[in-house]
Amino acid sequence: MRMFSAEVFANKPVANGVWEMRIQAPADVLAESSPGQFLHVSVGDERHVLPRPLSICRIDKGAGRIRLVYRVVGAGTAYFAKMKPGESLKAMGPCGNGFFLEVGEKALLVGGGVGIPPLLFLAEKLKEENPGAFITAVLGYRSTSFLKEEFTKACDEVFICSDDGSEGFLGNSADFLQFKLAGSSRAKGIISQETVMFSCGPREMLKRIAGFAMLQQMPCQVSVEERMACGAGVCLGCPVKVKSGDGWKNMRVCKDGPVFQAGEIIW
Amino acid sequence: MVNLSVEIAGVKLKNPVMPASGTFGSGMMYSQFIDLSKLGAVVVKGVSLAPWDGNPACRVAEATSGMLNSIGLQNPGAEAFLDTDLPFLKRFGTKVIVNICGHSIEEYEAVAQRFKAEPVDMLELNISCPNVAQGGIAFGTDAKLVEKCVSAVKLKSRQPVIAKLSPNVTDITEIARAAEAGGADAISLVNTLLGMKIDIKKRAPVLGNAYGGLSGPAIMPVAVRMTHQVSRAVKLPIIGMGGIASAEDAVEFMMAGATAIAVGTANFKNPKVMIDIIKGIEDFMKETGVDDVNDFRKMLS
Ligand SMILES: Cc1cc2nc3c(=O)[nH]c(=O)nc-3n(C[C@H](O)[C@H](O)[C@H](O)COP(=O)(O)OP(=O)(O)OC[C@H]3O[C@@H](n4cnc5c(N)ncnc54)[C@H](O)[C@@H]3O)c2cc1C
Ligand SMILES: Cc1cc2nc3c(=O)[nH]c(=O)nc-3n(C[C@H](O)[C@H](O)[C@H](O)COP(=O)(O)O)c2cc1C
Repeated sequence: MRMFSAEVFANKPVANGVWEMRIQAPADVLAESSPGQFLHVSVGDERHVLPRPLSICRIDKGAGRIRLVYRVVGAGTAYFAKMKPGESLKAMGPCGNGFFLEVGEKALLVGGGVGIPPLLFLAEKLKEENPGAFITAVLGYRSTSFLKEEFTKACDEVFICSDDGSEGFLGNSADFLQFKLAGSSRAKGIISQETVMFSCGPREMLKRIAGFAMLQQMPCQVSVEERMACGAGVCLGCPVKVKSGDGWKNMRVCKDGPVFQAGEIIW
Repeated sequence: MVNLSVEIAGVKLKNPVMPASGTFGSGMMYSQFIDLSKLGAVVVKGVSLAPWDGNPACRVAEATSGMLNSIGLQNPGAEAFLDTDLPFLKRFGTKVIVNICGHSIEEYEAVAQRFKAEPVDMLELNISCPNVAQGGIAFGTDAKLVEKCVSAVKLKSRQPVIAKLSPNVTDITEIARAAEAGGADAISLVNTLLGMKIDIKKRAPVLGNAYGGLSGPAIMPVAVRMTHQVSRAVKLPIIGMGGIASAEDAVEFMMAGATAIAVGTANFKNPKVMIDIIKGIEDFMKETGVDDVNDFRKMLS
């Protein structure tokens, strides 16, 4: 984990309200980064005292760049969307524990909304570790898709879902898993205990994915979101309840996570 | 050479800058970014006798030039702190101030007693905790309770005791005098101002606990005013805090009457900010011809 200044190389919209920013980052930050980790990005004015966590979508070691894909939801992300190439931002990272690279023969990646970006880095990394692995991605969007071509390149099959039916399956990715993929003949081999599931998206979706994984007895890792202040495990601002003995304990999303085993979490 | 060192209750600090409790953990995480031995002291997060679970999520929210928190003093308890955090901190040879909390006077006493033989330099009494016996009101808002709590802890402790005051009171000088009467060796202020944020789309409070403490630049003028009032009301040295993010802010607190200052929320955006502040104070002194950092306290016209 480092604190660094990064120059914006490119910043453009890729779907309605969703932007893609490429930043020039130090080599050691790139070298340390793994899928599921995030950058804690400062908003460059005095009024915003908390940095914003954004997942690493992809790294380009050759060019020394990190890509972030973000939805504009409030003042911080609106500030990022106004940044121009050549301007610089301050960030800390890579933060947290990413996905544990369980490289089996089959992987099922399930993403929702801006939970989709980190799964691209993951798909590429899984392929790198085991070129023979069969990777299926189920990607759920509000409306227009983004990163679709790159997922198509990185994965063996990609299913698109949209909340408004504008593309692919009408419904979210949890619906798709439950009502479509689990039943389809093609998926027979995928929904199996030998397949590792990796998921990132809104909490309600992850909860359903965790339930699905439990029912199918599939190993499943989820990347969860919580509001955070320090991003470094210091302030205890981002608790997640996990099972511990007969009871539960708080763990920190920013430091112990954001990735947890789905079965550990108390939803 | 300018003098940056200050003294609080007989404890000499190499400079007046330290983290505010709860915003720096025990220093372990941030030690990868800054050299802890460069700080005047390290103030650790609140420690209670037994572990506390803290409040439910959501625990933090942003406000204009500030933030709200309702961590609820989650901490692993005194034993865990002594096993892992304290030995780590001692490696840096920096002064260690332990912030202690409890739900009753007996709990505060027990924590102080537990630290009696331990190598910590000062205890900071967080009297903003909810007092369970009194129906959850904070100790720090009742002058009689403040005096009682401080004097009880003083009897059990070997180290100097700093009383940390809550700003959520009508007359801060009354509380400061009560702390002085109870035998406090120093005063730190302010803790957070009680606040609330509502998500108007969800029609619900943002924080799981509904209310939380406001900190950051938004509260600084309130904190400077209270520092000024308290410095005129009691003879005790003051550690000022509330919104400090730069050397200029730190100097403002010292001119208001603080002997030392603490930095909280600003660490989250820049964990190296205290190092910048120390350097900035030194530069400001050189530029304005001030030889001793202790002179700031006597300057205000
Ligand atoms: C580990 C992690 C990775 C993330 N990765 C991405 C990503 O790759 N792309 C993306 O678009 N979004 C991602 N998010 C969500 C993103 O952090 C928020 O959308 C963003 O912080 C909103 O900031 P804002 O100022 O625009 O919104 P505001 O609502 O104005 O923010 C106010 C405060 O709430 C916090 N906040 C608001 N929404 C969220 C949220 N969903 N999760 C956590 N904090 C929030 C902000 O950080 C800020 O402190 C991630 C969140 C986490 C925890
Ligand atoms: C996340 C967080 C946790 C805190 N925890 C404690 C604590 O454990 N004990 C305490 O006395 N004060 C605690 N505080 C209050 C700070 O020490 C400080 O008094 C306050 O935040 C004002 O300073 P600032 O504006 O520089 O943050 C906490 C503040 C924050 C933001």
